[in-house]
Amino acid sequence: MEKIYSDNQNKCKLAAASQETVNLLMSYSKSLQIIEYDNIQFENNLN
Amino acid sequence: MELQKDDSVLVKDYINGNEKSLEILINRHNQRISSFIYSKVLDRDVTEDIFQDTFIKVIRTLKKGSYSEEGKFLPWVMRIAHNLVIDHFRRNKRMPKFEGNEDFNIFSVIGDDKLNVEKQLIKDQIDSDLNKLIDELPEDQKEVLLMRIYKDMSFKEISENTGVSINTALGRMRYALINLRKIIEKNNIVLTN
Repeated sequence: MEKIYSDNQNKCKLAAASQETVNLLMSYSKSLQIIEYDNIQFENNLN
Repeated sequence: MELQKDDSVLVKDYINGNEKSLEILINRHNQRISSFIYSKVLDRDVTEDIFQDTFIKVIRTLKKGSYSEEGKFLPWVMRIAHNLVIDHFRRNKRMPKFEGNEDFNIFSVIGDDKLNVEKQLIKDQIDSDLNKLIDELPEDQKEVLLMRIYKDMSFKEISENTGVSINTALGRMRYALINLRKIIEKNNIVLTN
């Protein structure tokens, strides 16, 4: 019979970020604009 | 069948403004990066958070043009994720997060002593009923009862304020309670939570 000794069996499971997180990252990427002025970079987040 | 674009091509496309390339990159490496983070933190929610922070750093670096294609894309992202995992443990060391297990639940010791919505509604109803009952009392008894119960005044203070002796104030309080009980019994009013 199978005997699992691992304390945390969940440890072996594969994980993946949810579609929600991916969508958020895509929205963040689309909203982020980098503007350069006088050798200084400004981050603009246009929502 | 469409040929799979190399990571470096997708990165270049993304830097040139093709947002779709980033989505392909995220989906392509999602499982590997998430599994790596999860193997260290062993918490699904924390994994999501660190994955998100990792790609926010990736996006900012790529958009700022600070990324140099010296190595490969995936090892670079893994390095960022690894650093964020270390940050997470450092932060947790300073402010440890306590999680209960099957044997012990922290919420069995720390309780919210506030009433729940239902009990609060019942309490409000009882308070309002009681106010109506007190309004039915004769003025002198009502005055003493309000001072004693709601204003938490001593009988000495009540007697000074109303200009009657302490004994009279005590008597009025006694009659006020007797009368309240009479009204409650007569009308079968239930005043329990």
